[in-house]
Amino acid sequence: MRRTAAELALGVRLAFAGGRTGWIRTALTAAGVAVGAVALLLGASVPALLDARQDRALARADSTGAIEVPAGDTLLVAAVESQWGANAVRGRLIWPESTRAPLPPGVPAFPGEHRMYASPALQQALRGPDGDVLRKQMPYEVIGTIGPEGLSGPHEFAYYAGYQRVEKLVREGSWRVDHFGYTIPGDVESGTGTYVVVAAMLATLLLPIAIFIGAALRFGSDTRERRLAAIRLVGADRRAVLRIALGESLVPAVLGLTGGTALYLLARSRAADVQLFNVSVYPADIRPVPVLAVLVVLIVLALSAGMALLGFRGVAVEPLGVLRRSTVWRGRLWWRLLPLAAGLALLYPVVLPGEVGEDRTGAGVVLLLVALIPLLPYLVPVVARALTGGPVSWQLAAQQLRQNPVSSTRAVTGIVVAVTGAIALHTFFGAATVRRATPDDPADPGYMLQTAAYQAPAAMRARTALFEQVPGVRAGTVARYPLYSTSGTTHLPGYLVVGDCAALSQIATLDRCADGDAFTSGEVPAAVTLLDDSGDEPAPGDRLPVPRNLRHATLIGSDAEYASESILLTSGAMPAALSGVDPWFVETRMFATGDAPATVAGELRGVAAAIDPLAMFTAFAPEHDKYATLRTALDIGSTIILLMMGTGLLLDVAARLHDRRRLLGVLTAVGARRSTVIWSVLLQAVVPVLAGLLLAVGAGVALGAVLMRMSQVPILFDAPTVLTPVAAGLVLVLATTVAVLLPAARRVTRTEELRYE
Amino acid sequence: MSALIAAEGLHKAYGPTVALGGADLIVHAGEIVSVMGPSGSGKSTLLHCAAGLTVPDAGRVAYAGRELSRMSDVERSALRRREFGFVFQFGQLVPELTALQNVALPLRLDGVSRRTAERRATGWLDRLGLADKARARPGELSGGQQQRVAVARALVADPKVIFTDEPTGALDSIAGERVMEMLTSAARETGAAVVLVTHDARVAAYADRSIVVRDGRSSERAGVR
Repeated sequence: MRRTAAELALGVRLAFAGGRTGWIRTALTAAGVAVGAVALLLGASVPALLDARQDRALARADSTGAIEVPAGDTLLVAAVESQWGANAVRGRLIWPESTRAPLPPGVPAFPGEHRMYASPALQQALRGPDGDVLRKQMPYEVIGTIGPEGLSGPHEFAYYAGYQRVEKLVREGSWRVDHFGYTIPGDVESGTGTYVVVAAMLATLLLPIAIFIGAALRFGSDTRERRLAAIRLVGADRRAVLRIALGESLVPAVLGLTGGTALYLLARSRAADVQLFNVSVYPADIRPVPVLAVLVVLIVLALSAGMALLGFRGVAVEPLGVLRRSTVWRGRLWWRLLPLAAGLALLYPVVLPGEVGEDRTGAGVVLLLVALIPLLPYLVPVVARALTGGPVSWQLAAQQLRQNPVSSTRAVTGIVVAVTGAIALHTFFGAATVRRATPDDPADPGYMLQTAAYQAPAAMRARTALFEQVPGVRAGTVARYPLYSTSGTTHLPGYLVVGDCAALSQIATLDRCADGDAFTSGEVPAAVTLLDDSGDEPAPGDRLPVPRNLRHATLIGSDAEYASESILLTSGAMPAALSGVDPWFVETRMFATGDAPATVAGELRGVAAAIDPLAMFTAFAPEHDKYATLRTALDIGSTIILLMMGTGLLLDVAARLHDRRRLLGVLTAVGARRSTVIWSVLLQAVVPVLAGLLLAVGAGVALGAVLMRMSQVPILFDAPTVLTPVAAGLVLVLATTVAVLLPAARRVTRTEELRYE
Repeated sequence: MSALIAAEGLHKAYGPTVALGGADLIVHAGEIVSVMGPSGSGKSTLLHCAAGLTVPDAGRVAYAGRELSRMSDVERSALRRREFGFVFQFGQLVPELTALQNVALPLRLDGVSRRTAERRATGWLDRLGLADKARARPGELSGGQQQRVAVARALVADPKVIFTDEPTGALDSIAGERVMEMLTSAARETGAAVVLVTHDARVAAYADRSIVVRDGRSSERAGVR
């Protein structure tokens, strides 16, 4: 026992006493372990984080679903879901029906009429530069702050406003609650695709880190092995040597774990400053699941120990020196294809219609990334064999690449994995942004306000004018009545749409239009019946006559897709019987032009709130880049990983040069030009990278397509998104080789390297 | 008197190169035996085989009656810690450890407590005139001082045999003589045998008897002491 302790302690001492090389190795390994530990600890915190968010959401849930709560000690609630830039705004208009009505979580008292309790983030935004625009959406006096127990996160925009009118809107926008914390089956946040993206990001991050740690551990390994041989000479057996190496590996592992924990705590303390996907979290909610935290520590220690021991694979440390087992590289393909095949098998359901299990897809994505690691060493000699002939430098490089592709590609694999992950995630975010940021059809409006009550034509025109006061906005208001199908099916054949010429021309292409004109997009009978509120039965009352002088109009946008046989009436052609009849919707369609201000969405929401705070306002145009923060995070992460990979590549190539210095010296000594030798070294570094990047493009595009298919966004790729990470990887390698490798190559091609003692 | 080390009929080849072709080496307790011969004659290989550092292709090596080739790595390692000491031309000190830690290393690897190990190491450093260099690392010492640290380390576990291979090869003659005087006097004092591989006749002169190795075969040299 004492011997073992002494051997471990000796290893620890050697880690600290290894001179400059030892310190560099320890520091680099610890840095790699720290980054990995942070990633793992954050990953281990996700379950608790999601639980905490879920608990908060459930505690304030006020949706009763189909249940109608009778009046009593109840609170009347109406929901106002809105948006301000990247932030969703959760508004509730409330009015108590009793002094014992339930208080929303985080709200100390019921606000009076037109007064509100607001979240800290909303209050800050109201005080901000565009606060006056935002205020139009919630023109209530702030009288207090919603506590954390009533918010999903510190950045949430939320308010509870006193609004007595909700008493008159029961079942028409407002409802009663007798408590908060309703649980509606199926009303749980769905994270489809989230775990897959998280798994892809973790794999993208952790695999290169593991490879980096491996490269760092190999740095100065010859010195370490000689030292261990010296220790063997004075009586250490083989197991003792391994225990000493284990002790040595414990130092960077413990330092890395400590550093990683410190970084994690730092990241946790700053968590309140970060918002991703409109989700912000309280630092207190970020806590690793204890079992997972222990697992992280054990995994990090085990991995560090495992990688240290792996370094002795094929190496025999003997008292007189170090023996390396030299093996002929066989380059068998079949086992290299196993992870790829397994990954593809797991991902195969993605191409089939229907739902896809995200656990399975997540595993498939990770396996596909892992599959790159054994494939690259196979690909490189294939390239080297394919390119026969050429200058002597290439012949020398090709020889080495064919004979020892594993060491040639070791550090490059990390770059390939990082670039693959970056391509997949960037293309996915790009496609998802395109999908979510634009209307389905350019003829459709960017924004739309829908209300249910009847409005006279003059009122509709006035409503249009209100929106058109916002600079750069063109609007039109129509009343839309669904038509009952004469065939008796529930499928809607179309609408009866009433509006002025300008508004109708936003729905259909009209040859000409004046008040009193009527149009149709199909064959319609002389009289039509409207649908009732249920949407299934004809509305009571007489059939409405259709004007005789209908001209043909061609519907555009989504109307062309969903309302084939519609009747478009200018207000002068509206039948008298329709006057005062509530339509399905009175909808104002808004188009923003290039002259619109950046806050156009907020301005329009403000106008809409002034018309009716409970009206349904829909934005089809981009209000913000939903993935901007995540893209920035990914860019920062990719940069860190690529820099780590660059360092790893540098260490690896330097180590390989050091190992081959005698051979290079011999080449120089027998008359090879120094430039030939240097070029051969450069080609050995660059060719695996080029082959790897080629692999990364293919794998990245495939993975991106999987993620897009998973999230049901159109599969779109644009060249810059794909090629930017490739270019970054290539520049990194060139910068590494040119800036650092060349001086090293010059040094090792001196014939002095032949000196033995 | 029975031999402490008995190496008989040793054969060793490295590929097509025959290093030993039937060499013998007998070492009795407390005696200093030099192994001489020209470069490439196989004298270092003979020492390595005798110390159990290299396994011969044929022949047998016995230490105190126990055949080394039948010992496990653990047993041979224990021999190196407890019964053998080594002083080579260079490369045997651990550069990351201080002189004191280097000398104490065999004891620490044998499970001796740090305090005891360092006390004994300090004693040997003191005897070899290196008390003031205990905290220095090998890189901070001269070649002669490094070799004296190696001698101290070879002696710290009270070994029965000290194997030395060109111990003065990297030193000037004065430093070399000083190292040899310290090594041999300490060995005689402790009763340790010394196997001294050298091609330097001045170094070989410290031996009680001499073996000559030529083309992988050994023969006793007459007329030494």
